[in-house]
Amino acid sequence: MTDSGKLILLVEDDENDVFFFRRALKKAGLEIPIRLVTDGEQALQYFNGDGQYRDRAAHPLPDIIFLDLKLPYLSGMDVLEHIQKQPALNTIDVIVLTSSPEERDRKRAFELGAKEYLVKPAAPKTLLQILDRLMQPRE
Amino acid sequence: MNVSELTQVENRDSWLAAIVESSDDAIITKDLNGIITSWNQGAQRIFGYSAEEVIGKPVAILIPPDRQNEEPGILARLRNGQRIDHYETVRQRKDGTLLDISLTVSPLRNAEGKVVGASKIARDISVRKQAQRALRESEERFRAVVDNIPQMAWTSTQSGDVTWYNRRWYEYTGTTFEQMKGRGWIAIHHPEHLERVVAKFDESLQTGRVWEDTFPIRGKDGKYRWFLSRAVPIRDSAGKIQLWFGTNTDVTEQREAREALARSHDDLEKRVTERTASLTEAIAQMEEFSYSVSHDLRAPVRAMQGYAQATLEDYGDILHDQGREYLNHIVRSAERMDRLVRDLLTYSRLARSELELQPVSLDRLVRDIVSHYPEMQQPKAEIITRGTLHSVIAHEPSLTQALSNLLSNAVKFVAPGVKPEVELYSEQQGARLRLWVHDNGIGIKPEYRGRLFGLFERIHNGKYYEGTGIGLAIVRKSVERMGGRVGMESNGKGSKFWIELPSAQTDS
Repeated sequence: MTDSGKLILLVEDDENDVFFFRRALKKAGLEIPIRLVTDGEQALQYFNGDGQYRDRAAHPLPDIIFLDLKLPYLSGMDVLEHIQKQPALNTIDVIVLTSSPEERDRKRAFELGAKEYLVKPAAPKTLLQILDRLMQPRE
Repeated sequence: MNVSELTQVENRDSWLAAIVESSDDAIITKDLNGIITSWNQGAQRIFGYSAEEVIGKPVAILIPPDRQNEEPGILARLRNGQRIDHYETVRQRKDGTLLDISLTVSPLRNAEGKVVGASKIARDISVRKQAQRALRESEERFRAVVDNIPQMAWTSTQSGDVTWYNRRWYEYTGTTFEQMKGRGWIAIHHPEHLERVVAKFDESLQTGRVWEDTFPIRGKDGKYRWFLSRAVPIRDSAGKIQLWFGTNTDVTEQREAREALARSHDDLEKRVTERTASLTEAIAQMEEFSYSVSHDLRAPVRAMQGYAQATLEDYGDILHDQGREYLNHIVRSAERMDRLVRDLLTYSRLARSELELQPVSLDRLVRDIVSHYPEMQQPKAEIITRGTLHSVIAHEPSLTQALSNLLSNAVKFVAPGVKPEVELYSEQQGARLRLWVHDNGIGIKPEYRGRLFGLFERIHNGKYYEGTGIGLAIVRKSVERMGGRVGMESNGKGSKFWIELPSAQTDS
């Protein structure tokens, strides 16, 4: 797992949730590098290589995104919509990680191409299962 | 005169006599003093006297007392050799009844040409007079009626020229017949409507179909009022149109009432739209609020729980037992707080969401629910169904919510050391199906049953049984939103909760 060569982008504005996410990954024994952006606009800048993310070598496109829904500026749904419209981002697996158990959020997220929908806090076991599945070499 | 001439004369006399006798009219002769000298069969039929009774009597016996003064005048004219033609008067029968007659009186002259008497031909015209009287009375009644109805009325010729208006017409319009006759009525029509009104009226005149139209007519005060106008053709026995009879009924108030009603209807719709918009906005705000609550309120709780848990995991070994116990309290309290918030959200969502109802199989639903909860499965618990549970009309997510809560209660509230056993069965109750959930739990005291389905009501001690006090409120709210009912019975051996919903069976 350590040398999977995969990269996670975490889109999360709550410091505590960032801490719990990192801790859960660690407890699951997953040592995947994580890049962090703390709002929806930053996420878009990251994808587009704008501003502070101009250097693509330093800020490579992620393989997996963990996306909070309630974010400052652009919401998680807006980010999902953006990803869905960009062919270059189509290979990225998006996992929604939110505190909303609302059915309509779950439905909307899947409509916008999310691969998984997790309600916080994410248990290490769940993360392990999901990442294991996503990291299988694709056909 | 020879025999043959005499015979001829006799023949002619008897021929004339036969004509006189066979006449329907009364043919009477009298002398210049008014004494009756001859009396035919017709006279007998009309007046009731026989010839024997009246010949030699004054003709005055045929004259009613109030007309006795007519006779001297008649006699005076006769003496002057004048005729009286078709003089309509009244005479009296033998029985005293009066009759209308038309009288023709001619002077009778002798061979020298001197007037010696008179012949009277009296024709009974009482039937015709009666008919005339009846017609006049009928017309008077008609006038009385049409002059006193609240409508305006008129008659027109087949070419649309008005020949008569009732009194109401003149009262309302302040016009005269001279101004209004023919097509004079055009002058008091509203210019914006006139062309249409005339065209439609002319069309009816041509086709002979009943005319009906609504338009304004100017009153004498210069103001227009609206009239519903109708005219029907009056035909003779051959079917030819003799005249048109029309009426105009003032419908201004009805129109105004209708318009006011339409306005108030529009106002009402506008208000409903506005109210709906503000409600929709309120609901949207409520949704926004709920969303914020679910996210923002739960975030710090989750953090407390998470850090307490992390502290226990990472530093548990350097803490005293009591320190660890405190952290466990924080974790449990935070978990409880989180569950409370989630349950409250569920409850408030239930109260306002729109539910689409469709048939739901209870057997499948129970299997699905049990498969999601390890605590409802062997070996921890046993949930069995007796017979087929059938289907109900419900909103599946809401019913899942309700039934999950009931089943999780059923396996939770048991005495320590007892394995929960729950039996499910259903019974048809008319058009409804009642699903029973019978457990072997600790039961509920009768005095607490009234509070059972209330919000935040907890019947059992939280020290032994976890709960937020919202579960059964959710059950009731969701079932009621689907048009159903909930209830419970307890006979000391566990509790029997039931949910009643419209049955999906159509043939039972």
